[in-house]
Amino acid sequence: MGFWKIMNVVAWGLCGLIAFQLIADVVRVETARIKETKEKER
Amino acid sequence: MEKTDLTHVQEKSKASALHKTLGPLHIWALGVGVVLVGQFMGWNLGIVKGGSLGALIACWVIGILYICLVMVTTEMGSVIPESGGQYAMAKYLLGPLAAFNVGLMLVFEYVMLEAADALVVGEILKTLSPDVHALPYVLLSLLALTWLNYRGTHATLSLNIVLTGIAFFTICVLLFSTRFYSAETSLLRIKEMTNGLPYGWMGILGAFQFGCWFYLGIEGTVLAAEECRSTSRALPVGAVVGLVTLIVGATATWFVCSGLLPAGKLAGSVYPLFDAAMATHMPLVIHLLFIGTVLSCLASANGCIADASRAWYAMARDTLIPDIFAVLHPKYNTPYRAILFLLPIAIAFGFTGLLDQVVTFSILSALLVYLLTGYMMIKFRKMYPMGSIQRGYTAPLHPLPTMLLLVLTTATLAGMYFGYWINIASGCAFYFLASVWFVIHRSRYLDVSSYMATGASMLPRPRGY
Repeated sequence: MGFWKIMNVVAWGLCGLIAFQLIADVVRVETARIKETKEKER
Repeated sequence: MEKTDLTHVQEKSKASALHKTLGPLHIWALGVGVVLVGQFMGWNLGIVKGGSLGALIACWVIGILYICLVMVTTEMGSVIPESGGQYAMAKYLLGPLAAFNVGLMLVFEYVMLEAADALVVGEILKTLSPDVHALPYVLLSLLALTWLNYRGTHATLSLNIVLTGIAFFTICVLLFSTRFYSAETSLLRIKEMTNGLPYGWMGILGAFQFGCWFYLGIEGTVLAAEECRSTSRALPVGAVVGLVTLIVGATATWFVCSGLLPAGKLAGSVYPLFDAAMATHMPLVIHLLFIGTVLSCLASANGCIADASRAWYAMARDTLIPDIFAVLHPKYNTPYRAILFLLPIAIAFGFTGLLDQVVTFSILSALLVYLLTGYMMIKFRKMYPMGSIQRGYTAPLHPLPTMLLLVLTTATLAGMYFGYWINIASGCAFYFLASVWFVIHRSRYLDVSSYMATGASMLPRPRGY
């Protein structure tokens, strides 16, 4: 396997890592926001 | 409005305000970083329309347009220190419908530019090896820059300072590698390589729109007005130094490329500066220009993400679009929903592969904003004459800059009509349909009290209102 073919796989991996981190953070923030809103409503 | 209501809205506004962390250097980086990519590709299409000399004249005439634009926007931006730039100005000076259109135009100007940057990054990397797949690198660039923007403006624009500085440095290296200062050893052969004005004055008019590539987006500096430590200092200094940087860079770029490449080859080049570097046959210069081209694309996309998301956030905060986008991240204090919402749109347009169409729509959106900006300046000086309000910066010789701005923008649109009239028609149809949607549907949800609250607390009642 050539250097650039390995780099292509590494680039895809990094894409997945960043996308996962972004999605995880958004889920965390939105969950906290929903909880806070429900507590305020009570 | 009741006093208590106003206080409540002001407190709410203060609580959701963006962090004030930016200085003149960040404003310079935001302005130049978005625009510098225009020196590395695209501007040379003006040679097809107007010849070598036509492209140079277009570069300088459009430089005058942007000097006027920066003067006008900086004066208004230093008085209205609110996120959104020309959008915020339209909000207070023209009303909700015009503000909605200006906001939408700004968002599309920057999102399209971001898509074009992504396209170019993919194309450049493909030249490294036939094994390189453009897709993962394009996605990685956009995701990494989005991640940086998501985590904070200060880190994002600090990165832009580095990227922009390196990209500008590579242009300087290319310039000095040609030994232009020595008549005997200079590599530049301007007389032999250029083709003058093959299509006369009409060619210059046609080249105007590509002259915009050198400067398109510099007006984005006012979008970060709300995040400046001292708006009245950072905005004028950052914007004016940025514009001077671009004019010097644009002239050097034309000089080097026109002296190293024949006009026919330069007109059809995808990467004119990189091709010019190849013509020097110096490996170090060639490698540096490759890096410079990639970094300028990344810096441009980085600035575009920051600008587009702030305009989208500002529109949502004012209830012109659904307010789900008007939320700041609890930890990073960035408009994270707007940043993430615009990412797939940029990716989608980037993968149409239609670089000239994407960029023409970006330029058209920008030109329409410039027309409205000129009109806003006339209205602004009538509503707030000199002495009636404290200005961080005053545009000299008013109304000359405004008139020049309006005349040159109209001339550029006329030149664009010759080759891209379908783009003008479809762009205008899009904004017309969006306006119809706003008037019929969205205007019902407009919260007028919060819409004008910040301005009501900052600005005195204008004359005649």
